[in-house]
Amino acid sequence: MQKIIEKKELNNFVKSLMKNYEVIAPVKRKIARFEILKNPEDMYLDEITLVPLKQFFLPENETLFDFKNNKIKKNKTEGRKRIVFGLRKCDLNALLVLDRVMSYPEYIKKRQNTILVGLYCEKPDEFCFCNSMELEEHYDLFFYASGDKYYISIGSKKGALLVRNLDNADKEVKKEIKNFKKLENKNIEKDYSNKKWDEDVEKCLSCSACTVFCPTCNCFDIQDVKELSENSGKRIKTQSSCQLKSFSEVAGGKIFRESRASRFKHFVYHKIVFYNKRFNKYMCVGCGRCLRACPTRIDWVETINSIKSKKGDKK
Amino acid sequence: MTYEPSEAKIISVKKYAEDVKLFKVKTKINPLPGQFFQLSILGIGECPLASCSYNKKYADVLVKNSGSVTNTLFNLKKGDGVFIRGPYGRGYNFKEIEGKNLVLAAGGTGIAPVASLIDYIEQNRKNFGEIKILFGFKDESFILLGDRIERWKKKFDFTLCLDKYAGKLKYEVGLLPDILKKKKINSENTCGVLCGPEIMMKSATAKLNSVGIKNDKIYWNMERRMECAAGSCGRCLIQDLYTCKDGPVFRYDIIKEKLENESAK
Amino acid sequence: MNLQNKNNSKLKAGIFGISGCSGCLLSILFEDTFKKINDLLEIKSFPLIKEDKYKGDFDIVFIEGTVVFDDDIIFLDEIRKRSKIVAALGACSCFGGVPSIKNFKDDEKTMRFVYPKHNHLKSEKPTPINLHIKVDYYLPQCPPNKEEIVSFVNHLASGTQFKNCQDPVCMECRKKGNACLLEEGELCLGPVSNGGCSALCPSNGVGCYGCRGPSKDANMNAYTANLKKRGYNKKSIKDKMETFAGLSFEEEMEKDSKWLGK
Repeated sequence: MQKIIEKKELNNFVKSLMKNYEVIAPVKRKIARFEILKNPEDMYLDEITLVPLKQFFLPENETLFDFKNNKIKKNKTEGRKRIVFGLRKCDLNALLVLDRVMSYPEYIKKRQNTILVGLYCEKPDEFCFCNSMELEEHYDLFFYASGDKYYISIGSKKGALLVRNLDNADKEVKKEIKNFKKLENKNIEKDYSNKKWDEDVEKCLSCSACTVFCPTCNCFDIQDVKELSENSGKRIKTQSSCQLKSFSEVAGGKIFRESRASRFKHFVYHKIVFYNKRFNKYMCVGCGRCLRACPTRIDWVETINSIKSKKGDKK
Repeated sequence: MTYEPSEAKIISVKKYAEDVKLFKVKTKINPLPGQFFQLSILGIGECPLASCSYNKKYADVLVKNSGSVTNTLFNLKKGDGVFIRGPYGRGYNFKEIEGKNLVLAAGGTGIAPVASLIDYIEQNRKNFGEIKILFGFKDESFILLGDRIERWKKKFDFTLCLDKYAGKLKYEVGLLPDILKKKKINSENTCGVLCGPEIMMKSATAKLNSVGIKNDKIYWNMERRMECAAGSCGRCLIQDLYTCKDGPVFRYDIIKEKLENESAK
Repeated sequence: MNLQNKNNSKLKAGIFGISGCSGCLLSILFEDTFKKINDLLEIKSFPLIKEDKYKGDFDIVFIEGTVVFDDDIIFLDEIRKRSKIVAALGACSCFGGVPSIKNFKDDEKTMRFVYPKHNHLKSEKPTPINLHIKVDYYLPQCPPNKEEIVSFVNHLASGTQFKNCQDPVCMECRKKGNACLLEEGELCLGPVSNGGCSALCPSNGVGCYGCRGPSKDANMNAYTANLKKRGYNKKSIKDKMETFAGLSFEEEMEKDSKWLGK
């Protein structure tokens, strides 16, 4: 059964959560992003965030362990209890995508310590195509706005505990997200060498904005940072991107994915084909952040649609 | 899985060439032939390497001085500590290659995983048919594992190829694939095992194809930038395949098209 | 190059400036930077802070500034002979820097504008130091990145490979979650410039000037076409590119940009 809360009570509800948890929610600072909430009034729920949630699970730089005088010092993972509020269906599914590939203890601990509260997407924009990506229902709590109330679906015991003091709903409110954009066909494995891709590749600056803002891009680098004078340092995991030449470079200087075309297509194909082959799920969650962030407005979704419509083998 | 390595001691160091040394490292990780491990030096970084011996007590690490880690490693001595985690990946698929005749061809430091496989073959000789081995090096001063090669020469059909050699007719002179072309190879029930630069593996594959050994009987050992070794970091992806998890040994029919796609301009 | 010496003594270093503003030398003097590199190097010469009486050889020399006068070249030749390694410090030394803006202007007009009364002065062409001597390492940026200097010295002292950041400024900028300045109506060279500066300017609302030089992987053609679409003219883009690394950007342009190149 769903729970209900008056919309005007939302800030008080969030404030009550902030007593026991670190609450992370969307805010708008020039662009919308997730931040640790200091004040419930800062919450900005009107549009999808451009910056995804992932840095709270996969920080830009994360210490794996410290060392001194050639001895490893174990890294203490702190277990702060957190709630993320205002996650859209795409954001929630992005975490499921990451769960299948990230297996190191720091990530798992952060996932276990975080309660996920979703929010129905009222206004998908012209870049959203989440309905094409076969997303799952995954949340601890999920808020549907209706009139002056939120109807709250409960997805887990952890979620149920948070709303146990709220009233039960008199009816059930569930809505499907309406998209303007659609990825018509995901069966693109044989289209890798299609000439249509060249137009996108020509526009690509290899600036890596798509991968940085993608909520499921998780590629990283492991580096050592050293304080030579103190004979100490740390091994860190740092965010990287398949769009960079340095990404596939090995000792001796050989770059295995050197051409811009192979790098660009690697991004698209990883999202739609490669990951799917392994896990039978799409890596792309259809949030459209890569399209929104692209400075040259590359729209690979349209490229796929046009490849497919030309052939006339639409599904 | 954790990215935390454990300490291992260097038992001995042997220099084979100007830029190649063999480090015997005491470790219990026990990699199978073709598997790899991450060897690291705190403060410098990690480097994926394969053992060139097959045994449970130590790893024989053939190191070419070509990057930051290997450069530092090069200056280490007996008794020094390094850090190691592994083993990772899939090595040679014994279900597929046991009971077969094998053509093993490798060049330079690429001989490491193949040498480990030869160790395994020596220990389980009855499980394999006819063995033909070709190792290629730049010139006489770059011959690696020379002591073991002497032993193998007595046991197997072993050919040592040198790109350049002016002395007596002790070796075959020329690029490994060219020498392979001259060899008589019985294609029946035969698998090819290759390790070296891709261009060398490619022309060696063409030769094996020409005598009737199909791509699904040829194994390539791939070099990619493996960082996490857990299928997370994405760096070693060859399209949908992780070199660190699905490889580094791949059957050529499986990766052929993927490699062609990736290297397309 | 492996400079590790067997008796574990510190590397002998010299820190010099030729024609320039000394800002790069000053950035070495910042307390934390200086302390860290002083732990690892034996600074034999640093004329900015101490009279230079050292006549011996160096393991490493840092050079700031642009080559403008003949004296600069004589000095560089001498230093090159005395040092195993030469590192170009700052945008001027690496690319010609701000002084090289002059290369893109009408010589006569510029002379008359700057020195209206001194007709006897000869105009020189400012150039980066690698046109005159072999340079082993580059530490670009204006002023240079203190962390990069320390990391470079760390690598040098431990005998490990040092590599400049080859990724575009955008990578670092986007990782910080900045709003894209191009979208905000600022002319920004981020997509075609080398990073390594933690996107310092864009993070503070100033479009990138490319003071770490053009990225080797820059798609100049797509970039300039995009700027054209956004309403920028050739002059505004060229002016921006010519600020710190004009000579290098010009080279890249000729290779790749249909619109801006010659």
